[in-house]
Amino acid sequence: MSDQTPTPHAPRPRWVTALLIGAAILVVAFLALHLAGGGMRGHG
Amino acid sequence: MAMSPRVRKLALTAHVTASVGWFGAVAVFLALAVTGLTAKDALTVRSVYVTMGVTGWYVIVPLCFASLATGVVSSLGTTWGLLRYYWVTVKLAITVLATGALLLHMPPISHIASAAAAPDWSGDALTGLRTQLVVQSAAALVVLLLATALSMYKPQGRTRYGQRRQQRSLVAP
Repeated sequence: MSDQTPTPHAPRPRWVTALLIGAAILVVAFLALHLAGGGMRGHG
Repeated sequence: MAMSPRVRKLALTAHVTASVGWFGAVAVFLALAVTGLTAKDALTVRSVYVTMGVTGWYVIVPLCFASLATGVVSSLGTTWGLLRYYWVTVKLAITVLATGALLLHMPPISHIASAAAAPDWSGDALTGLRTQLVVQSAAALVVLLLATALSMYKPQGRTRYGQRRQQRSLVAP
C-alpha cells in the first residue's frame, strides 16, 4: 500500500503576486476616482 | 475536450486574430481620442467622436467577445487548460475584466458620439469625458499588451488546481 501523504503545493510565483498587487492598486485608484465624482458622467 | 491538431490550430488562429485585432482596434481608438481632444477643426472633432461610437460597438466589442470565447475554447482543448497554469488564468481574468470595463464604458462613448452628431455641438463640450477616453484607451492598450506578453512568454507556475491535476496523473496507473 502506498503512502498517501499529501505533497505540499509549490508557492505562488512572484510575478503573479506582483500582478495581484498591481491589480489591487488599480481597483483602489478606480474606486477612489469614481467616488470622488470622477465618473464618466461626472464631467460636462 | 481534446482537439485534433488541425482544430487546435484553427482555434488558436481565431484567438490570435481576434486578440491582436482587438489590440489594433484599441490603438486606433486611442488615436481618435487624442485627435478629438486636440484637433482645432470642429468638423474633425465631431467626425472623430461619431467614428469612435461606430468603432466601439461594431469592431471593439465583437472582437473582445471573440477573443474571450476563442481563448476559452483554445485553452480547454489543449493540455494548458483554463485554470491549471497561472499565465492562462491571469489572461482569462484580464480578458473578463477588460470586457466588463469595455461594456461599462460604451454608454458614455455612445453619449459623446450622439452629442457630436447633434447640430448644436460645442467645441468645448464634454472635455472631461473626452480626456477620460484618452486615459482609458491608453490603459486598455497597456492591459492588452500585458495579456499578449503573457501569451508569448508563458511564465512558469501551475495553480494549486493544476498541481493537484498533475499529482493525480502521476499517481494514476
